[in-house]
Amino acid sequence: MCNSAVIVNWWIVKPLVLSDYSAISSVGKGVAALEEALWNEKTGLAPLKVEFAKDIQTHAGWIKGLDQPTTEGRFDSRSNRLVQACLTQDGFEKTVFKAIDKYGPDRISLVIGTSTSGLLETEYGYMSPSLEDESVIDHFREKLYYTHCFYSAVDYVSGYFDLTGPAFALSTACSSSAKAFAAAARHIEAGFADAAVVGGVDTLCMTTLYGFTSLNVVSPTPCKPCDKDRDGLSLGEAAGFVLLEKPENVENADKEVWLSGYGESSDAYHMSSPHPEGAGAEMAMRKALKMSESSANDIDYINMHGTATIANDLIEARAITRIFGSTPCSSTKGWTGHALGAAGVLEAIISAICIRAGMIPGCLNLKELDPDIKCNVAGSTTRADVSRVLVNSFGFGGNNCSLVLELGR
Amino acid sequence: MTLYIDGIGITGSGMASWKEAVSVLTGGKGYTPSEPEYVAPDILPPNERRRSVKSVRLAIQAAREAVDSSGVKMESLPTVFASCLGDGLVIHSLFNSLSKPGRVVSPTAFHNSVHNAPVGYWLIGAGCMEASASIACNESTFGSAFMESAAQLAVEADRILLVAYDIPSPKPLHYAMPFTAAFAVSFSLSKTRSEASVAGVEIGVAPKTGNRPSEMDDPGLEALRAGNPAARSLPLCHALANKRAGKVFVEYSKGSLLRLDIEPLP
Repeated sequence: MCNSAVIVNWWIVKPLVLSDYSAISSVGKGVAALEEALWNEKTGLAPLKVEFAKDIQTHAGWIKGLDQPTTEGRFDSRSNRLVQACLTQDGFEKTVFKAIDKYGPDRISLVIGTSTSGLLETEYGYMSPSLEDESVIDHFREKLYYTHCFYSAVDYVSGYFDLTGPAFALSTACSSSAKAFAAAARHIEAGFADAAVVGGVDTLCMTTLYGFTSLNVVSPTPCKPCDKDRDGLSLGEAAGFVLLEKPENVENADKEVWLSGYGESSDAYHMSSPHPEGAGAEMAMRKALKMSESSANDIDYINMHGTATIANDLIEARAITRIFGSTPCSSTKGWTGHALGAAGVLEAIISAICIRAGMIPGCLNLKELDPDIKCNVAGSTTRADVSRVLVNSFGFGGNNCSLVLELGR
Repeated sequence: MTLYIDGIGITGSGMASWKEAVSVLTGGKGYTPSEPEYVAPDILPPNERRRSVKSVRLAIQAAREAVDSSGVKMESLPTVFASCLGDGLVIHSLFNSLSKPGRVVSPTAFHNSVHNAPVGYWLIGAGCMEASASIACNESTFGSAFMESAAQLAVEADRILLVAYDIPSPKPLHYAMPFTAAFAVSFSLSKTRSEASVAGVEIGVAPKTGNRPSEMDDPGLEALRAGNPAARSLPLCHALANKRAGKVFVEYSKGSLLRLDIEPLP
């Protein structure tokens, strides 16, 4: 167990404005569709019926309309099609071009979190009847470098916008795109960039579907975070992008949502199981509070990592109770499923919606709360004044990241 | 900004340690490529040691050497790990399993397939709860990791551990990522100069137009540099081994190279 006294290394990083954002998940395309689904408690999870998951009975957040190539030849993958769809909706593309005019293409940092990139395309490559065929070899040689590597989406997006500043992919499994915010904020604070495009993307593939199944953590039904009968996660696809700018460069910045703190920590415990007392999770939350100059009482809502596995939810809930007592919290994975590397940015955008719309989302699919979970889990979506939110993302390898978002000061 | 190199570690083709690398890079010993030894890290508990794969072993070996020579406690260091591909051997074996009926994969193979597996093992072995990143940037992987380490030093860390590694993949993955040899490099970096500091490095960017990434004179070493994203660090290592002041350029972004101005310290 840790407390704030052991956190000796912290510095204040100045807040940044989320001046525009775009998201796609199985509940819909665009921020308005996401907000509507949250109000209406309409899930994007449905029985998964795709050939590449034929042995697995599960519900998933599958995004329709990604079956046809929409991206430039060598970059074409399910993952980059999703990236392209997310960039080109809700005027986000225009926002980025405007930022390029304002700051210059070399002064915008680009950090994208992903855990699986375009692995699906390579998985299909391995299913070829003979891996010795010239056509298969050519396919690997000419295309898969551009779709498989974790850098693929960054390569595609930086080429799309001709961005020439700091740009890399961050891949720490399920905390990837939450940590992308931290990396981008550092680039701006260190003076390596004036603004940043932060993103996250993950699409379904065999590696994660069969991999999580091998760990016995995939639910056959829609996931039920925090429920006493929860039996595992539902996987989901998602992409999200956010433009981060310094408040002084944004008109009416006080009316926008800001990133005011992040906290990163490691469990140093196990590759795929969380620390039993949630020590690393607690440390990440406390660091994020401290950087944002918030006390636990300042937080109006906590968007949990809440994957709906038996161990994860309980451990996270205990850490939340220790820090926050009865602050309302919920997991939104009952809507979208677990979007892995895209979960951080997707749930940061959900939290921004909560602040702007005055909403506390319920914990969808929760019927009866696990009696061992003592934190204040919201049952259904309600209107409430929400000005400050903490978002949790925890991943394999014991990699934790918490963000604090708030209405501009 | 200027940062300080307090410790260096290398485990890679033809170089089992920084000490061996110095002898190769100063011309005392000719460079001969050879498969490195993938030693199971003794800092890991028995289960993790048994499950550790080649990328994990290589990265931890280099990290350990850098940390030990800097005299810093390994549990105190935030980390930036970097690799273009992760572990091609694990991915190859996983994808082979997925291409067979039933698609049964082992839980260990699955958790070893994530890009941040080596840093996850390191954190367990080092007992380290600090922040850790795992980044990928194709041929600019080392340059980006160096910049990310500098950003952390500028903003929120006094010291940081940088580890870059990549290993060759079996065919057909090799056709996509044709890395020619295994290589891992590690730097224990500090914001302030101390008795452990072997060099100060001023970090900046230079436009790609009119500048080229630094190369190695020795054809064997140049093949290594060009054949593995982590070995893009070799020109920096060469300057450090020869205690030579000067600048090197490293692949960094689509518009710029990273410029490292190196000042050896007595």
